[in-house]
Amino acid sequence: MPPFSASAGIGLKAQHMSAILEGRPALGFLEIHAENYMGDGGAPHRWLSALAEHYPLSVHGVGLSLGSDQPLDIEHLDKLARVVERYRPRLVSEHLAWSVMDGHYLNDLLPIPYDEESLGVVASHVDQVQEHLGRTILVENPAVYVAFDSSLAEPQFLAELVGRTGCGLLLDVNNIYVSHRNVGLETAGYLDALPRGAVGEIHLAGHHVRTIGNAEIRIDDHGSPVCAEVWDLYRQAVARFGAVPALIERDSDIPPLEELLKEVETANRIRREEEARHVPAA
Amino acid sequence: MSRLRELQSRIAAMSLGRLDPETLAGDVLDDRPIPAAQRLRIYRNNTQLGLVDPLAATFPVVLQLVGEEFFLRMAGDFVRAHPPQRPELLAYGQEFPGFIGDYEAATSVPYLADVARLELAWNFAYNAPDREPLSPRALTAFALEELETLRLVPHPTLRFVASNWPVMAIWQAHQSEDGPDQAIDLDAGGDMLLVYRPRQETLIRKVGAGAFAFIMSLSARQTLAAAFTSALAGESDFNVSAELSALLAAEIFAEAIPS
Repeated sequence: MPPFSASAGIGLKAQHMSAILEGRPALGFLEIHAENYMGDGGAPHRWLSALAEHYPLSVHGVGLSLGSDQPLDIEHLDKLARVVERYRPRLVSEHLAWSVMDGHYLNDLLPIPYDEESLGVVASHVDQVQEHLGRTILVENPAVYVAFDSSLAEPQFLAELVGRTGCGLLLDVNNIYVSHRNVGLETAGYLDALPRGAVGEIHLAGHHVRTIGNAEIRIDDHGSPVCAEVWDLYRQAVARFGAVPALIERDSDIPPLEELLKEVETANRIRREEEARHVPAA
Repeated sequence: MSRLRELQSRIAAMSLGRLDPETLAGDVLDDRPIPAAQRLRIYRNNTQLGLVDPLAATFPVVLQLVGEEFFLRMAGDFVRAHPPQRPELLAYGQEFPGFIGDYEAATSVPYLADVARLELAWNFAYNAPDREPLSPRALTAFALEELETLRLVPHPTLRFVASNWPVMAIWQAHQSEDGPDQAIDLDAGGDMLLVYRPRQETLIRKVGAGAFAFIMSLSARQTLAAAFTSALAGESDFNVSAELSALLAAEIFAEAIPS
């Protein structure tokens, strides 16, 4: 398996596959959406197998619905296990969200209230997934447009989840910023509330600002470059959590590969600067 | 029912357009400056677009034929009527061709449902398990008297599409973003198509009524002799040796099982 370099990675998109195979840009890793590789055969697997010879992989699931208050879909969990078995990724992650209820799959990442009840549901699902896969997973903080009456703050909920299940965290700094602007999620102290060793990956993405009436709401569409405030949060995250694998995520309005590589370079530069600042004096 | 489950049940109904967002406004903390119901509509919108997108990926020719605006409306109606039951979007839209066939506003495009059937077959073959096809020379291993009772198994990626419209020409003409560069003769007659993927490329093969019935019969695990009888019923001058070697050369089979 190719080694993880310190460089940031990108989310793998079909339109970039041949350019990556031909040019072999310096990327720390490639991240795939697990569900796109749950088919049995054909071109998706042929491409990914070729790429996996040159880059470490991260498998990012979107369909498990860890936050649904109903049993996990075992068939889906089996399919995820098959993708993990087939590609032996360095990282496996899912979301602190839900998308399945009453026999319907909504293909969205819906928020949950942060309380004891939700914590019990999510923790038991994370336990089940980790047991099924035989490895720990990373759980990603969501971007939200509404919040519910909650007894725990989001980072406390995540820290508690880590404590109960031994899972890691996928820290999406764009999501922190989007939720901060949309529902007033407290960013001061957010990073400090998370256990230092738990963050195994950081997501960086863009969002867009929609105006409703006179007010703004930020939509987490991964359709634009990372904004300055999010780069700033990334810098703070590196200062606290060190050089964990970082990912440039772009899922809509996919630009040419070169544009994503520029953002990878920005992430690498920030990481190097922060590392230099924290090297203990000789 | 737990508080969480009850909340999720109502949000799911709201997201699929079955419950007014206003009825959930009291469950949500945030109401200013953007009202709770408006925020909840973002989720409804994301869910419905999030389910239309995979349909657009599976049915790109249907989309091109009707245009983005119409497709969004038709696929949106489908999504609300037939949301996926499981997180299994690669195969989502099995009922879409039938839905299109019954869709009032699409009746002016009478071949649309069959184009959707062809795209569904293509999508199936594209994602189906890889399997080495049967060698075109495989039958030379059998004595003549063995051939009659031989079971030739079609490739597992194979799907059949039959239409009264020239759907293959329509499909081919819409493989570029720009659409067809010349008009398609809609009176050119119907198509009987075999859609399959013997190796890397997904293929569409147009065949006659005899060959179509022949392969269908073999798919139902009939012997070569029985399949030949079916083929003759479909096409009285069916030339079995010529057709069989053409189908073998096209790598349409996966296995030959002597009885």
